[in-house]
Amino acid sequence: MNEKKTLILIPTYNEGLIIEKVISEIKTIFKTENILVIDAYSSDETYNKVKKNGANIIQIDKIFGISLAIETGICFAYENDYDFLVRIDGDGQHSPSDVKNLLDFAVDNKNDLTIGSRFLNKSEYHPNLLRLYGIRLLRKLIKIFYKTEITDCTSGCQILNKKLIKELNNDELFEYSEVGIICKTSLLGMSIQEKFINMKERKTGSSSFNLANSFIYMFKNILVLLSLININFKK
Amino acid sequence: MISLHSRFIAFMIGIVIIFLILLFVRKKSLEPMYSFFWILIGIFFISVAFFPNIIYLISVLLGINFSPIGVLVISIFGLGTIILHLSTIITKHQRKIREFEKKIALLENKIQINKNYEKN
Repeated sequence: MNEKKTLILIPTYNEGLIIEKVISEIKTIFKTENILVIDAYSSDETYNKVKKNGANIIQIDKIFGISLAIETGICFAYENDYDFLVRIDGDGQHSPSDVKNLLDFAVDNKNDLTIGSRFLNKSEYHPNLLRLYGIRLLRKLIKIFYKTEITDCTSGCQILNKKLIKELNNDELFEYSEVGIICKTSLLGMSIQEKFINMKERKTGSSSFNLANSFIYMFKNILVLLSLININFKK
Repeated sequence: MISLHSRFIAFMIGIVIIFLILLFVRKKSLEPMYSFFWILIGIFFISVAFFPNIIYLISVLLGINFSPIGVLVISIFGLGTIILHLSTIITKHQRKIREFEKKIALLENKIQINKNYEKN
């Protein structure tokens, strides 16, 4: 299993206070140097701190959203021939050892997409009500339209394998989002599996989600979900 | 009936629109492709100046008795079409910019890695 090349992808925005800790933890636990931080031109020390820790960093403008950050990561993983792409949030809410377990699980089960779910078990994560009901709605929609049962479709911890990376990289019109990737994967007939992952309360920095943002986020996700169905009909 | 006065104004507006658009195209501040709609609008104004009955005809076709409303409906429809058209163009450009941002970021990263490699 050690021969598998794994890329750890961390999208960040103003996470200067905790990013060093996250990177060093990942380095000790994963025993890898393949860390790619995608930064949205943070106004704090994130860039310098990541550089100092010797991780690779790419900057993508914030206006394109997190989707382009992840797409860049996917592109990078494809060009450099990585076997697995592990996406972790940069705020230290996922503990790296949990993610390591998730990766082992993904390797053992040969899944194309593995999701760290916060809802399979009791976690410390408490979203606001709008987000919670939004997630439930998305879950229902995915079940109806894609016949895939996902408990946590907006999880920030996802593991992609080589096959899926290749498919996504070749699809020029694909715009990444957590929900979009689930829809796309099930359209391609690839396997998705979930495993519980704990999510700690955020200690530093601020989440990009407030009430208005949550609403926009849900709206976008539902649109993505519905727009991908059309492609399904065309086939 | 539309007075001679307003017909003259409509004619002048049409001429000015077409003149301005041609000027913009010449100065390369407007793509010839996008000038098409505006030229059409200019032509519409001029044709209204010469054949004011167009407005009545259109109103009748739309089932509107009060013809000024017919003019309004047509203008709103026309402007809406233009805006929608522009929105699709913006989206296309945005996609392109996204793609460029991604590619440039990856290339910059490659250059950086090569530089570091040469240093060591």
